[in-house]
Amino acid sequence: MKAYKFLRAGRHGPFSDFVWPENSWVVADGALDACRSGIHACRPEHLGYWLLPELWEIELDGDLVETEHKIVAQRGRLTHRIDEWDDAVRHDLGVECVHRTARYAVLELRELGFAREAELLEDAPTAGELAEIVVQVAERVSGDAADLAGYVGDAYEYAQIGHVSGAAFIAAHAAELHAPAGVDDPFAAERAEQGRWLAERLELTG
Amino acid sequence: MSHLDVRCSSIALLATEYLEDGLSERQRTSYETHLVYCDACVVFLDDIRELAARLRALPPDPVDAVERRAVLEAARR
Amino acid sequence: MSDLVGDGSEAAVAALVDEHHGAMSRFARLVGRDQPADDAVRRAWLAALARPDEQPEGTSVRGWLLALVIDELAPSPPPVDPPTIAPPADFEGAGRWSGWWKDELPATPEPDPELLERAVGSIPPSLAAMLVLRDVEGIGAVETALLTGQAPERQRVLLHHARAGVRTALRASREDRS
Repeated sequence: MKAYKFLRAGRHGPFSDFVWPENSWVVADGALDACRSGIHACRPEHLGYWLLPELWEIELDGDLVETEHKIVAQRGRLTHRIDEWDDAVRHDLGVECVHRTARYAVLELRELGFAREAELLEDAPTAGELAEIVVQVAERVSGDAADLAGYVGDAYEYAQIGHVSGAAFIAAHAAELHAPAGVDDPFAAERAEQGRWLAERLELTG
Repeated sequence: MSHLDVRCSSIALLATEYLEDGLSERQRTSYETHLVYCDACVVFLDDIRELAARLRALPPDPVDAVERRAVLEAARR
Repeated sequence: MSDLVGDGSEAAVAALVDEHHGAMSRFARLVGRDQPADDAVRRAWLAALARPDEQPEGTSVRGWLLALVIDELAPSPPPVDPPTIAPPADFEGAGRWSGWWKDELPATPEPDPELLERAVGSIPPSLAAMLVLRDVEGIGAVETALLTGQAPERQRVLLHHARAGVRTALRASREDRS
C-alpha cells in the first residue's frame, strides 16, 4: 500500500539514528507491535502531526496495523521523495497556521464580547501585521482571549524561522484552548485540517 | 484535553519509559508527535541517550595487584 | 560460574579475577561511597568462589558478581525524595510560549570520565546501583530483575531518576566551570 513518511534531513529516521535507504525494503525486527516495532508511515490526513524536513512516498507491505495517527507495517520501501515539500510550501503552511490560530483568537474574542479587538485581527491583511496587532490586543483583553492572541504572535515567530511544525502545533493547541462548539476533539480536527491543506497542496492521494 | 497536547515536563518524566519501549501505543504517539516540533525535548532525549552511551564507555578500575593476590590466596584457602 | 571455576585451579580463578575485578571495584566505589570498596569486593569474591553453583539461572557471571557486591555493601537509606527533574523547557511559560526557540539550544559537551563518575556519585546509592547495572554494565532488564528483584517497570522508574539526576549534576558542574 502507498503511504507517506516524513524524515529528518539525509533520510534520517525521525526518532532514531537509522538512515533509510532509497528504494530498498526495510523489514521490522520481530513481530509487528505498534508500540515497539514496525515501519511507521501515515496517510495524508495524518501529515499535520509529523511535519519534518523530508517527505517521502513509501510502499508498505506485510502485516499492517492502523492506529489513529499512523500506519505500522512489517516492511516498507521509500519509493520517491516528494520534492514539492519545499521551503515555499513550508512557508505557506506556516502562514496558513498563523491565520488559523488567529481565527480561533477571533472566535474567542467575539465570544467574550471583545468585538473591536476581534475586528482588528480580522482586518489584518498579512501574517506580519497580525503579529503586530495581537501584541496590543493581548494587552487589552484577559484570560484565554489574551493567551490566544499571544499564540498568534508565537505562531508567527515559528513560521518566520521556518519552523512549520511549531506553528502547526500552536494552531492545534489554539483550537484546543478555544474549543469550538460542536467539535469533539478540536486538536485532532485542526490537525486533520492541516493534513488536508497539505495533501491538497502537494496533490497527495491515498 | 487532547492526549496529544503534551507538555515538555511530561517528555522529561517519560524519557526512560520511551527509550526502554515502556510506553503504550497511544503514549508513544503523544511522545513522538511532541518531538516533531519541540527541539528542546529532542535535545533532552539525545542528552539521555548520549549519557547512557558515555556511562557504557566508563572504564573499569585497574585490577589492584595486592587485591588480586588477596583474592587468590583466599580462594586457595 | 561453576564451569569457569572448574577444579578451582589458580589459573581459572585468576582469569575470572582479571576479567571481573575491575568492574566490581568500580561498582563498589560508585555505589558504596564512603565504604571501603576493596572489602566489599573481596567478600563478594569469597562468597562467589565458595558457592559457584548458586549463581541464579539466567544471569551472567558479571551480573551475579555485582549482585554479590551489593549484598556486601551496607544498605543505604532509601532516598527521601527522588531528585527533581527539571523539564527541558516549559513550552507554556506564562500561558503562552516562552520564546525559547530564539535562543541557541545549550550545547551538551562530552563529560570526562571523572566528571561523569562524580555525577554518578552525587545521586542516591540505590539509584546509582541501578544506573551502573543497566547503563554502565549494560545488563538487560530481565537479568537485572533476576539479580535485584526489581521488576522492569520499577527499574525504569529508578533509571529515569538516576539518569535525570546525573544529567542535572553534569549541567551544574558545567555551569560552575563556566
